Amino acid sequence: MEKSFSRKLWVMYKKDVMNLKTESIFMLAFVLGINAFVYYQVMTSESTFGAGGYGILSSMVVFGALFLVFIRSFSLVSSEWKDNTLHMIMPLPIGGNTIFFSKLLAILTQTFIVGGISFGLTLGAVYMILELEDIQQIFNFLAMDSGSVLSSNLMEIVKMAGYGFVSFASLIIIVFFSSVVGRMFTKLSGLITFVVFILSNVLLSQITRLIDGAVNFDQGSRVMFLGEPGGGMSGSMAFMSTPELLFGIVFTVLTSLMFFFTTTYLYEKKVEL
Amino acid sequence: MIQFKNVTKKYGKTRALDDITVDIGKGKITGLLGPNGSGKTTMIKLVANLNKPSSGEVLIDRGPISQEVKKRIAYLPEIDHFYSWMKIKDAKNFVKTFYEDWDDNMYEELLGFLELDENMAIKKISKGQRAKSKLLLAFSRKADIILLDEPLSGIDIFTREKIIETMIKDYRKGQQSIVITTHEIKEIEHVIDDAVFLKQGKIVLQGQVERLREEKNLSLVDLMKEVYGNGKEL
Amino acid sequence: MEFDHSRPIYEQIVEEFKKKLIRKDLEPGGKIPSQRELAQEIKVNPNTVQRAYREMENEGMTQTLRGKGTFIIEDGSMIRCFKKEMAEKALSGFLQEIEALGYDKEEIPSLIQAYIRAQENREEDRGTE
Repeated sequence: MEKSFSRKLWVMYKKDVMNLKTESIFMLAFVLGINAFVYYQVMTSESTFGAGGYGILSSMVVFGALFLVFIRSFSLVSSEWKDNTLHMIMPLPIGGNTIFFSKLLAILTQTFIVGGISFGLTLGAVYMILELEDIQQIFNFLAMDSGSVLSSNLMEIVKMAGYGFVSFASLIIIVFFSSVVGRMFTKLSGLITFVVFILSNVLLSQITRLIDGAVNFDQGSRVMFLGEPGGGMSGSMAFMSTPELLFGIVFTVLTSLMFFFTTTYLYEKKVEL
Repeated sequence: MIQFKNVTKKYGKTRALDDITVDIGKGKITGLLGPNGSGKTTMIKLVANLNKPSSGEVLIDRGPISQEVKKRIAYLPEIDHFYSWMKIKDAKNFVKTFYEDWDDNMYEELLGFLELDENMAIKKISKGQRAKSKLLLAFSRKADIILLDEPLSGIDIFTREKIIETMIKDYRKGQQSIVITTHEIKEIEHVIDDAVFLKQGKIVLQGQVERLREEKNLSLVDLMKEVYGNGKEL
Repeated sequence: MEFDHSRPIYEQIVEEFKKKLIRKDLEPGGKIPSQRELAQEIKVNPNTVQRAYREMENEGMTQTLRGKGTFIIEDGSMIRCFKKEMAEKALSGFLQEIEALGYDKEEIPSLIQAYIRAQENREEDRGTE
């Protein structure tokens, strides 16, 4: 009996998660270690290195972890060439869409687990370090006001996080795209992958700038597009205006889809072992 | 049923296959024979859809190798293609998801016949056992087309016999087509129906093995020596 | 079963059955293995075994009863024919080799007789010791 599409996707996804498992554990160990070390420093030393410093440092750890996930996504594609497992994948009667979608899902899962745990650790530690009144202040910043269900501040943060997530997913898709393009060449495929990745991002930011110039969003500040992982988040202290954010998300989703389908097309038609 | 029509395959400047035209018959066991680098593996990879021809076309039942066609193909690569974390059981659960013709009974039976345990971690077992694991996955399906790329190379004599027995054991006459590449001709001498001899990307001799024996009074091994000049290239 | 790979395998399978009949390893009317069983036992392509069975049926040596299997037919005289046939085959091989050594056809019977006598003497010697 033919298995359902979701069953096939699930099996592929499980396979990709298994491929990421060891690294994820290492990343978590790394995040835990740094957090424990900093927390220990803060709690024992008399220095001025307070909750704020801690927050900044462990935010860096979170970004560091996300950066590792991002770097790892390059090898999630290329390792299947190197360890010959592509011989298992390529003859399967499934299209490139399933193969790359499951990889994307696996990396996003890894992002949530590694990013989520390190973020949680930071929150927990900060909460323990902070004085009661500081916590009060943060709550005030996020608290319900002006009768709406969620405060506008919290709402903005959620929006920015959503945008950051979409940008990150898009970045991963561009990684897939450049890896596959790189693999179309037998020589220098690593270098080609890198160059294609940079060029794709430059191209995207140029297009964004052009459109931006034409549409001219006047409110809010510019946020870097698809630059660094979590690029959307890095400028998040200054909120974007809703139309601009909406445009950003729609634009990112559309270009991601384009990159995704080009990737699977190249994989099906051009890639060889 | 598997047709190569003027197929040329180039890797950079080298021609792995040079204008090959051949029809591999349905319900036959066909041997693609020749020394290393003669193009045997390239032919298999073209059918398994791992490679694409530089020119010409490869057809199955007169059509291109579509997803529908790929459902009917079982491919056993020469290299080990398992993920490092896989146990035999994991590999089974992975493969069976994608093929309707997977047969659990056949799998269980073969597992015993090949003296494998499904909890074996594929990375840790011997070369012979890995070869048998690959065979297990390919033959636990009722696939119409089975592609075996050098299933005997580097394997001890007892395992070779097991492998050959597996091929014969559940062979469905007339329905199943097996294509096998090897340079161990002696081992498959009485297993193949048809032989295709390759040399530097070209077909130098092909035909029904029994007829070749009748006409030339030579074993395939001797025939091969004749074709390739005293076997020096082997 | 060992094969001579310079001759068609199916022929050798048929010959093997004939030899078995002559040696009485197999009786007229007896059942022979199914094609699948035999292929697996002697590790030969099932298509080749099928051809051998077809050949035997065409020669009138076997018959296949639906659902029951393949049987040697109940005709004892057939065995004598096979015996003669196999003997002729052995002789032709022998003649070829001996002629290649430069003997004339006329010399051959005396050559054989001398050989047999020598064999017998040697056996007698061994018996008296």
